[in-house]
Amino acid sequence: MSRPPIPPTGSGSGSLDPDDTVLSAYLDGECTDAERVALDARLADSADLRAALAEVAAARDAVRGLPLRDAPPGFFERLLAEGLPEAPAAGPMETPAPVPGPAPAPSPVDLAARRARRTRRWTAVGGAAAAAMIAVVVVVPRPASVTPPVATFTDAHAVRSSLQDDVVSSLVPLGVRAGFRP
Amino acid sequence: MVTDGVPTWEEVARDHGRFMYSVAYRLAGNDEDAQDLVQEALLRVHRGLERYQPGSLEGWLARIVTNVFLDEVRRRRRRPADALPDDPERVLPASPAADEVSSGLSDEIQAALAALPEEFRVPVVLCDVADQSYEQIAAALGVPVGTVRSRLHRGRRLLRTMLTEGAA
Amino acid sequence: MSRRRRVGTALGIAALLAATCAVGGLPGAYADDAVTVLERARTATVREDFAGTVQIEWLDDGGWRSARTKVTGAGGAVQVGEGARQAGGRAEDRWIAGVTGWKVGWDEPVARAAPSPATRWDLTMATGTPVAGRATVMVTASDPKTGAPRVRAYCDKATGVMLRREILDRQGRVVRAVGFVEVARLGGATAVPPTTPQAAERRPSARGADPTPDAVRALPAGGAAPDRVTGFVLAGRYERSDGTVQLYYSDGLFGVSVFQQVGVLDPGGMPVADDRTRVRDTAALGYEVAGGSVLVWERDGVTRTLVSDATVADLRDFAVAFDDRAADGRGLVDRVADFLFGPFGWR
Repeated sequence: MSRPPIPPTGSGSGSLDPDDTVLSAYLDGECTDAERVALDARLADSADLRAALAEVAAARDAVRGLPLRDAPPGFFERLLAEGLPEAPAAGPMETPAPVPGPAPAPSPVDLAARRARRTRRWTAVGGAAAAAMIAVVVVVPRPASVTPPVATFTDAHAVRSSLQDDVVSSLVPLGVRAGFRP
Repeated sequence: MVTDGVPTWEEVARDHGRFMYSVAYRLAGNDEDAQDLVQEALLRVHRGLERYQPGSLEGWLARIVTNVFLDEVRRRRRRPADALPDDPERVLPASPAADEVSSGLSDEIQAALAALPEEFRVPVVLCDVADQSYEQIAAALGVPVGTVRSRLHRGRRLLRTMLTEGAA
Repeated sequence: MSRRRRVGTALGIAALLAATCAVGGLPGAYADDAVTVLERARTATVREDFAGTVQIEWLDDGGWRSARTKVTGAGGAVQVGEGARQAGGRAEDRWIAGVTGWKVGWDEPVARAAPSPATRWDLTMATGTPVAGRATVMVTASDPKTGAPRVRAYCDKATGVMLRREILDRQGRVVRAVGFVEVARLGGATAVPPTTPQAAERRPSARGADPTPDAVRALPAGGAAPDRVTGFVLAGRYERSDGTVQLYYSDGLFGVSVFQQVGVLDPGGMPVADDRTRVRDTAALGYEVAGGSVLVWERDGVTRTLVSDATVADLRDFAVAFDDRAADGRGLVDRVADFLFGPFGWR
């Protein structure tokens, strides 16, 4: 495989105005209505701009078209069968916290060292912890509050709606972002 | 079982492992690092170190994988002997593993992606692989939306240039 | 039928006749009436081959939003999206894809028991403006009480495919639209069907259970499923693997999903709402996203989420009526009708 050459720092396509960040936003549906209208007008007048948009779209499509990447065979199966490996050192990450809370400052994690341990440090700790969590879930009453997964519900509605109404217009929301603001 | 909207790490691994791995691989550029990133991300899920944002499970997971990746980049910068060059603008793409089967165009794109400085690669991966909105990316990276927009655009321009010149 | 309704219907028929004359180029099969045009549009995308780009636009509290995605139809299969966001369908199977791989979205028959759109809406037909360069027939559905147009559907004159659908608010302003911005092959050469996942590729759920909703008759404690709500008819009720009940209502023009979860709403864990509104005296959260309008509220320990392409204002009315019906309980007639004509009867 030939490796693409590394461009000089800050270089890009000469046909693009570096300030035209609206082109990417336009493709992603992330520009404002006013920007979209203005860009539509500029695109209608400028072949160069249309070409610039096509270049950005090509790069965007290239990444979006990359195939799914599977983990090596057995990676997840091994994790699930044997549990997560022990954390490398005592510290905040060792504190059990079955219910997520505010994130403490992340500890530097030596992934290289963990990689070396990955194949030999599968312990029963993860499995035991998982079993303990299951036990806790079984004995603790159902929580009294719920937070509806609205994005999942929106998708589920689109699917059901597509069986009753026009398939394309019903399913289109599944092809774009739901747009909920976290 | 999902309790109070928060999935267990096992559920995440089963239901979203492929998603996490895809994001991790596109960020890291090789399988070894991707496995480590996913494993560490699952640990963070298990230990509840990241707050779950209901409504966007994959967004939350992409954010965790990205945080692990950026932590590792920062750690390697502090310890340059660990492999990554100091100048993020000159990061070389990871070499494909020996047993990696070449898939032509995908490999070219992946190599170009891996050659992007991570300040551009991360928003590109979060947007075009993890399908996150600009607002979600901004929240994940702790930068303004305008910065995301700018970096994403510059990243795509660089990608386009690399792919064009690579094909020439 | 009220006098006003009769007048509306008469005007609708007159408009329909006028439109039929005005669009003289219409093939006879598509000039029947507006109901026929809508019904043909509903199924046309699985009869016709096409490839194009669809844009969805919606209005939220920050202004207009829009997004585009690719759409392909061939051999009865339809596929939308690209990359991490894709969905597909063939007959009554649906698949949703992300970068996690394909998942089964639906895999059981659904009887189309929805009422005719003419039951609740006044329908008129006229020549529409071209969409994606193609001549269209426009069907307008108006509120018979106010005369305000609420939906405009632009259907391809040659093939019947719905090329654009606009949703209007009660003041007659467009607030949501989905339509082709470019389309190829429509009415032309057949194409290779889009790649849809084979059974073996569809991922099982984490728990090894069927991940798709199952039609159910009995509801969990606290759940309610009134047969009719403000002109909408219950068209199915399902239980998802996490215990959430999904009800699907239709008035022939709009569909409304009601998701019911037992538990009080924790608003602190919700995404930022576009609209902090009320359902009668209860605080509610309103959202406008690509997938539609969403309204979330809780009453008596049951949290309900409505999703629809109708407006949030419409959903508020629906929610009030739903709460009332749920509080009333269901009468004997409802229960008998449910038993005889419930979802199992439609399968």
